[in-house]
Formats: sequence, structure tokens, C-alpha cells
Amino acid sequence: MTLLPVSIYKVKDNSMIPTILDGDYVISIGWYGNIRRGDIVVLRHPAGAMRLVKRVERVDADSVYVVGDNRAESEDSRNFGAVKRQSLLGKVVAVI
Amino acid sequence: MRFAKLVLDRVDRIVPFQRAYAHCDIPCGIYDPHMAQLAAHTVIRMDMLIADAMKNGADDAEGKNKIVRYVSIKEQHAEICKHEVRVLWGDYFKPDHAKAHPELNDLVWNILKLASKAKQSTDVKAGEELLENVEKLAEIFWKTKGISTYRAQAPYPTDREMVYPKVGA
Repeated sequence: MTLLPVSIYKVKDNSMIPTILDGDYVISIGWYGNIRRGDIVVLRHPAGAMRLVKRVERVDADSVYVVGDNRAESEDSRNFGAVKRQSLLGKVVAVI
Repeated sequence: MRFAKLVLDRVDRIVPFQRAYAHCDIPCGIYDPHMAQLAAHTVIRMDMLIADAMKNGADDAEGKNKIVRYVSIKEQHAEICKHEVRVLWGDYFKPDHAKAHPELNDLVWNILKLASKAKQSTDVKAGEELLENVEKLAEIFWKTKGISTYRAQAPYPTDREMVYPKVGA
């Protein structure tokens, strides 16, 4: 959760192709309620401060498993495992 | 949407938005400071060649052409050095490495600054300072992999040392 309910991020790199392209912007909402399979989320990388944008593939009680749409070129839960729900910064509601 | 993106691009140039990475590392797990070290050596070599060309008089078109080529390569390799170090820092090094080597973050920051300084200057000292810091980073890099290192004369006309990993027999 972030303090501001709405954030805009500029997306870098290619793991969300074809949904989100390098250089696109995403609008995310911090107060998103339930996260469901298929949602696109902005989250904190478990190993650092880097923010990632990925798609939710599985929702567990206190964690979510996220993957990139472009599986061939994505570092995601397949590498770093499921992430804690607290790592989620927002749910993407628009791609520009 | 296209218009909205144009507007956001404009805004981003003035007040950059936060970045969210659709991180695309495969990750291949193949990292090496060697490219950064080579790039730093190249910067030094270009400084040396610029000094030589100036000594021999670079006033004619040929001489000026040479100088421009040297400066161009120096600029490119200082940038390669920065790129390689950024990749190591962002993709390879983890918070645990920084804990074990508290100087790591400052060292990376210094290298990025020194590479810019080496672009601005033709003084070989700027290149040497860049190289020395890159070598220190190389030592830390190999230490994090449990591989010891040694310094030896690099087989380049820069006539300077380089850090090598002790691998193989």
C-alpha cells in the first residue's frame, strides 16, 4: 500500500510485452481491495528497492505469485518465489 | 492515448515519474567485471594517444581527425564502463554483498562519477583513477563469488595492472 491512492509509473524493460511496452506509463491504485489472478500489479522487488510490474498468477493467504507476460524475458516469482502481500504497491488500472 | 502519452512524456522530462521495471533479466547469471576493466583501460589508452598526437602537432586535418577519433572512443568506453558497472550493481550485487563490503555502494557511485570526469578530461590521471576504482570493484566482485584474485600487468599498451580471477589450474 502506498500513502497516495493513485500513482503513475513509467515502465522500463520488456517482461510485460505485449501488454505493456518499454516506455509505457501505468496508472496504479494503492487502495485496491482484493487482488485476483490476472491482475497486473506494481510491487517491490524482494531483494531490493526496485519496483516491478508483473501479472498475478496465483493468490495465496499472505503472498502472491507474479510472472511477466513475456515469460521468455522475465525475472519474476519463478526466480524469487512468491512475494508477500505487503510488497504490493498497487494494482494497475490503466496502461498508457 | 497517444496524446496522453505525449503529455506524460513531457511531464516525465520535467518531473520524472517513478520507474516500475518489467524486469527482463532472463536471468542468465553471467556477470563479469572484465568489460568494465577493459573499458577503463581503453580510456587510459585514448588519453595516451591524445597526448602523443598533441605532442606531434595535431593542427592539420589528419591530426584533428585523429584527436576526434580518440575522444570519440574515449567517450564511448567511459560510457561502456558506466553501463557495465550499473549492470553489476543493479543485477548482480545483492544487499548482502553491500553488507559484507560496506564500501560497495560508494565505490559504484565513485566509478560513475569518475567515468564522467574521464569523459570531460584528457588527463591520463582521470583515467587512472577510474581504472583503480574499477579494479577495486572487480576484487569485491570475485570475492563475493569466493574466487581469489591477483593483480598483474595487463597485456595492453596501457602498461598498467589489472585484477584477474584465479580460476582453473
